[in-house]
Amino acid sequence: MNKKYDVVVLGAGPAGLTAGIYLSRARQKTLILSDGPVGGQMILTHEIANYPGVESISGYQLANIMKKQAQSFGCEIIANASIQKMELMPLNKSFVLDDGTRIESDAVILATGGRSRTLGVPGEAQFKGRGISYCATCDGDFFTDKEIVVVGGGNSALDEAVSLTKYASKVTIVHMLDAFQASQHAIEEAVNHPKIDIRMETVITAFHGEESLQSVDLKQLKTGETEVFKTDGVFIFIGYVPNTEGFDCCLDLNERQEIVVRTDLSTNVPGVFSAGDNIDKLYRQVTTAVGDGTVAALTAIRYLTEQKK
Amino acid sequence: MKASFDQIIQDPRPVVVDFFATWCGPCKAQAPILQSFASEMGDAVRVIKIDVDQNPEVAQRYGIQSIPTMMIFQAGNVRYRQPGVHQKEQLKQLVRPYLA
Repeated sequence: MNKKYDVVVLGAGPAGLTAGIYLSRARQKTLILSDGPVGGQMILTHEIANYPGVESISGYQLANIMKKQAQSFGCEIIANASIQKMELMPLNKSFVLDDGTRIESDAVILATGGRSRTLGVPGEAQFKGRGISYCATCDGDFFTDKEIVVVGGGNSALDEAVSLTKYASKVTIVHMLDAFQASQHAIEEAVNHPKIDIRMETVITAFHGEESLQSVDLKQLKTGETEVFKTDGVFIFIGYVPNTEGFDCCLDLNERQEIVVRTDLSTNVPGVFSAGDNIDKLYRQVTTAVGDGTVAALTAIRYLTEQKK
Repeated sequence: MKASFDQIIQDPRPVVVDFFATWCGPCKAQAPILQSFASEMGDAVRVIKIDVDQNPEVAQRYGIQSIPTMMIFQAGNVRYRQPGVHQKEQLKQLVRPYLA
């Protein structure tokens, strides 16, 4: 089966859903295509309290409202799709799904987002879900009255360390640098918290346990000293990697594998635009993703209008 | 519940178990995928969902510390276990070696 759209938006997080809303409202025949669930990383967040206009909402709920909003303007959404083939060329933009459906479009918005960065040390894969977690809101409850470690030194690491003290009896923050890269507010809250202990210039070099995680090897980078540190759980918040695998065929990526975009969110390929956590930018928030989705959609609409002239 | 869970996983067919909680976003995203997988597979597999808050003893017994976690049992043996949202194609591939 062949299907033809004005625009295919790849990814169904806040950037993709927003692009879908703007494109459909502008009467562009739009498909949001995602290999994951609707909402992207947003659904990992239990409470979003900094989305203007909404005092407090779960990420899952917010995603569902955005989805309904896009669909109300006629946007089609295929989530959890299995995409077998993708072409992102100036004159050929197409996707083939595993059921053989071939989807073509005149423009594409890449809103594929990112995923949690892993430490990449021995034992990490083995103990994922058995003591190692990348999502405090999903898994914090399993560590009630337990002693845990939080890895990272940015805003999310410090915020989550504080939120995990609701469950854990003790939280040790392990950070590889000699200073935190977080807001003063977040730093003060973590540093002054009675349940939080801090190890600077320290890294985890291995995870150990049997059925579930029992200890980690810590290494103090300055002195080189190593230590076996007993812990029930480790939460890792060391940033994100962009979901841009397969795009290096045709798109300019930077050294962090993020898509290089112009201020109007166009890429080096005519008719291909990008929005959200997968682009080269400084801040990754639901609000910035929504902003990117808007800009990419408006630029795509302008591009399509010019093509039809 | 404990008795029936133990009975269910004795099934000679692969038994796909989704450990979830009602308050977990990714678990909600998993639900429709699992439903579609279950209806497509028909009687070849058995699919059940375990609410970790309602069945803490089952979750604890298997050391579930992340949700959603997907497990596959067959004749009482653990065949697979991994946290995170699983796509339908992935589930199909995972059960394939254990189908009659």
